[in-house]
Amino acid sequence: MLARLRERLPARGEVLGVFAAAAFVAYTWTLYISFWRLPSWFFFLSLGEIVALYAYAFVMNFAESLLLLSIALVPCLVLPQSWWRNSFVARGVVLVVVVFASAQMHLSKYPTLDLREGFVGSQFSWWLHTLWITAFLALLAGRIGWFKIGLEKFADQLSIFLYLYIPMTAIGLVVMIARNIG
Amino acid sequence: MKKISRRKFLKLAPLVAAGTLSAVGRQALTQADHPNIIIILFDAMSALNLSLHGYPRETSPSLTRFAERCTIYHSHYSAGNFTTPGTASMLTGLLPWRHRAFHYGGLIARDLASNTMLSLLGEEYYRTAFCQNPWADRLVGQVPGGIERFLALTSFSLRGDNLPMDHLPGDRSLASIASDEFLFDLSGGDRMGSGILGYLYRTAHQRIEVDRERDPRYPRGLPEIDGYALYANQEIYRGVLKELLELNSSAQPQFSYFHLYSPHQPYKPDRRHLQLFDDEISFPSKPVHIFNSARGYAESDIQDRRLRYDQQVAHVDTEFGTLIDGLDAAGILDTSYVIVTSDHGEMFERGFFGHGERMMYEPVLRIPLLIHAPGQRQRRDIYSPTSNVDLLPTLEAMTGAASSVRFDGRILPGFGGEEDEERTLFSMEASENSAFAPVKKAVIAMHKGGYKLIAYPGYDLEREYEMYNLVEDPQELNDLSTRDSSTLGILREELMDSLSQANASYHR
Repeated sequence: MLARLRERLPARGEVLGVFAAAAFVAYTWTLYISFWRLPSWFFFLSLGEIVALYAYAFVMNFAESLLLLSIALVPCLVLPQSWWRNSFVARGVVLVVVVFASAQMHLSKYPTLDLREGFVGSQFSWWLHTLWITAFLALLAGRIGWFKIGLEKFADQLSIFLYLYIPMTAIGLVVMIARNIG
Repeated sequence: MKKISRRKFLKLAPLVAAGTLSAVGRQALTQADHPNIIIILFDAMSALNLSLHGYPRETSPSLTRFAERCTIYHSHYSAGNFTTPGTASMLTGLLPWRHRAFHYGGLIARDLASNTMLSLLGEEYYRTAFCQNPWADRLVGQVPGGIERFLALTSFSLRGDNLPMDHLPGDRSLASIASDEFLFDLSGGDRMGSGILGYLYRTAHQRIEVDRERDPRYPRGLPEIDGYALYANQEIYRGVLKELLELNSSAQPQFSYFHLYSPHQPYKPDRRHLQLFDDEISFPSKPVHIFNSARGYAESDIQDRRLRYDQQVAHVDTEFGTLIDGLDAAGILDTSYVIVTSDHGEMFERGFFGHGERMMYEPVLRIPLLIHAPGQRQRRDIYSPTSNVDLLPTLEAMTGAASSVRFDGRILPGFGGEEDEERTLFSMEASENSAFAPVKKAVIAMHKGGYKLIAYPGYDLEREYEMYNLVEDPQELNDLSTRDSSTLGILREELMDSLSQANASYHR
């Protein structure tokens, strides 16, 4: 059973490429948002406390990257190999980017608490549309040569960020544990 | 067995006796020696909207009934105009320019965190805290080593205890900033630090709220802790009563701090109180403050908010009455100090409703303070000015706890302190300054001898000061700053001297 499951999954290098893309969007987004908050943090938090905030954020980002990767892996398990797994990197990158962007766009349409009913009520149709767009772009990513190669190169380039983000997460985890058992 | 010589026995005997007595003393420290202390704080409750203090609408019959067994402070002020500085001043006995918690959601200076009310009473009391307001929760979360029982801020709410910070009790204050204001942004903004988990978290939370927010008891919807949880006051007060009834089952003295969110906005009273105050009472119209001129709130809108607030206060008062009856029936009022107060008030005038920002008028600074001593049956009224920085020095005197910090507050009259009509009180809003630098831009209110000075240092305003004679003009309608320059000069000098002293340790 496990062997069959492993058979359906892409090669380790391909998984790493999609994970790199997922980590890039998750970590970079958090860093971008944090720059908006930094001036107010400097007003009342010490440098050590700000570092601790980033520690929490990086641990969260790691979990988020794994979640995004697992979303990209699910089609490998349920779809025929030629539909998804054979172009896993290109299609996985498309899925990760579209899902992330779609979530942010949906949030931006409902930016206040009093719109919560609209936010919850619109989710089904929003994600149905996202699914169509993802499927269409993933189809193109597998069929159009330059698009596919571009996405694969992009994922490959992004893996450099893992050398930064993964150690930062490890340090973050240590900081987080230390602050909570100290 | 080795024999002990008589000489050695005589040497050791006093030590053994002292040790035994000390152990017995510690064990015998019971509620009889140290009465329980219960603080019930209503967030954003202005003393000026309570019928207890002469408000024309009957908003507080239960508090008035309870007051017959209390010492009531009629000129009690908060040192801050929103939760963080107001609560921090009460917890530390210090003014905001010393404790430095003057930002929205800010923290008490770290070197002072071991000198708060909850830290100082930690030696002898079993401490319980429940802060529905996340900013107050954050301040209590700073107590080094934590406290014995610290309820989640969403306890007794529709949400239940499922905030991320509930899983990180060792670092509660910072975890709350990381999760609630950054990664998951519970205030409802569209820029969450965590793009995917934040989205999923908001989805799960808001689905629960949408499913449950229609409660027939609350035709205008349930009250809400901004982005954190919907709650019904009936359940909150039932939960608080349950917590307090457990006091009786323990011999150890208890210190309980309940920071309850209502009547904080949004004002959503239940059906019983929505019908109240269908009256023709008119409140004086006041000039729009220059800071509010761009808001454009119509006077009718502001008065509509006032009505809703008064209904909310009346609802809180009803629930409080039930709570006190429950405590009375259980005999807890005979063994406990019960302190009822607020962190700041609320105002509905000058083109503004709410609290915070840069408004330092009486409705936002005057807060209730009632103290019931164990077994007290007689009412006592104190009219001299007092501040919420006085509460900790008073508790210190009551309990024998010892602080290493010199308080800005004094022991309250009625509990060993002197009445002083000429006393100077300060309140301030300084959120535009760094917590680690001198206060240069702020709004500071100073009360002294019936006068009130409001100073706007650092703001480029045509008038840097406002001055009122509160004895003759309690509504603060006649600004005397241009007409009584000698009084203005005296008050201004004292205020600026005090500010310079507070800033001295921050100048490098």
